Amino acid sequence: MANTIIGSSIVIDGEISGEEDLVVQGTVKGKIVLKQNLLVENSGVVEADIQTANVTISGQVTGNIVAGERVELRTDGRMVGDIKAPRILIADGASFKGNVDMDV
Amino acid sequence: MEKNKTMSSQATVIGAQTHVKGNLEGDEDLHVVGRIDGNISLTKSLVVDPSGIVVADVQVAKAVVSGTVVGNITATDLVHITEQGRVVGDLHAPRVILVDGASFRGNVEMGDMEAPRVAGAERVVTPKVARPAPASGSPSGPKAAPAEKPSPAKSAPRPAPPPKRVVEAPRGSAATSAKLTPATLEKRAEAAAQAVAARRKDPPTKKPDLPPAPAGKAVDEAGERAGTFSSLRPPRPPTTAGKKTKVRRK
Repeated sequence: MANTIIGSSIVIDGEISGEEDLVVQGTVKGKIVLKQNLLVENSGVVEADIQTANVTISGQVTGNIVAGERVELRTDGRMVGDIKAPRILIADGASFKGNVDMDV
Repeated sequence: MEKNKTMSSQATVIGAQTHVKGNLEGDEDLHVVGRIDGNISLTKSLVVDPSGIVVADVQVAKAVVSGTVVGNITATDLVHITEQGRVVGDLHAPRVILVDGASFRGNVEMGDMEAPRVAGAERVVTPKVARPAPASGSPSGPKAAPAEKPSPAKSAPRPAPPPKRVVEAPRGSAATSAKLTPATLEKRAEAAAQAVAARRKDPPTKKPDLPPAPAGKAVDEAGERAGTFSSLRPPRPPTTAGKKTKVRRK
């Protein structure tokens, strides 16, 4: 049940996989594969392909996201890449460049 | 849960169900409850919880291992393996704490431990230099060759001195008596050649035998130093000679 937190000064170059929530305050490059929630906080930088159930982005993401449930791009969020998910929210103020696929 | 929440404000946590593959670096504490495969480089501390698994080379200030680490740990401050900790790999740190119950396999290097051996080496060198002197002044072929033989093999100078003394006696007499009669010269030369041949056979057989060589050396030194009546003499020469050979042959 313990969350995984990548602190703001941490840089991970590689792959993170798991079955619990992941909070990114630092930098992750590579690949993220989860079954739960991914939260990229304001200070967080993700340069990775992401597969998970839910993604919430307040920081910066470069890469493609495949989400089983939902992707939320918040006001401070910046995202470059393609998003594939049944529900996608892009808040006012967020910046996004890429394709959106909702499986319509 | 609560524990992890308090940690989360200051530290990075790799949760129990999370697996990280790759390099991880940073300037803050890292708690591993899950698993990391790869290299870890931190300026602060790494804490591996009892359920944590780290398969990585680790460079940190401080490492506290209650879980499993497979890989080398280099710490600028300390490595602490608790009673639940299991480590396979080399530890390199000025402070290493290994608690009762901890399991560990590997080398430990704390640094600055080499000084006494160097001092011992100097002591052994001095008698070595004094010894070759008597060999000089014999121009004849068979004698010159064996005299040089032991010296190139500096890595194992010990076997040489004891036989040298034995052979020196015939050599000196041969040199003086050679001028008197050619016949005796030949005989003595033959004897010397035989002695030389015997000597050539001897060192190779002695070289593989590690224990006899240092022991002979130690006895020689002890004999030399006996003249000085140094009260500290008996315990020291054997130990230094023993250490020296160990270091060299490895």
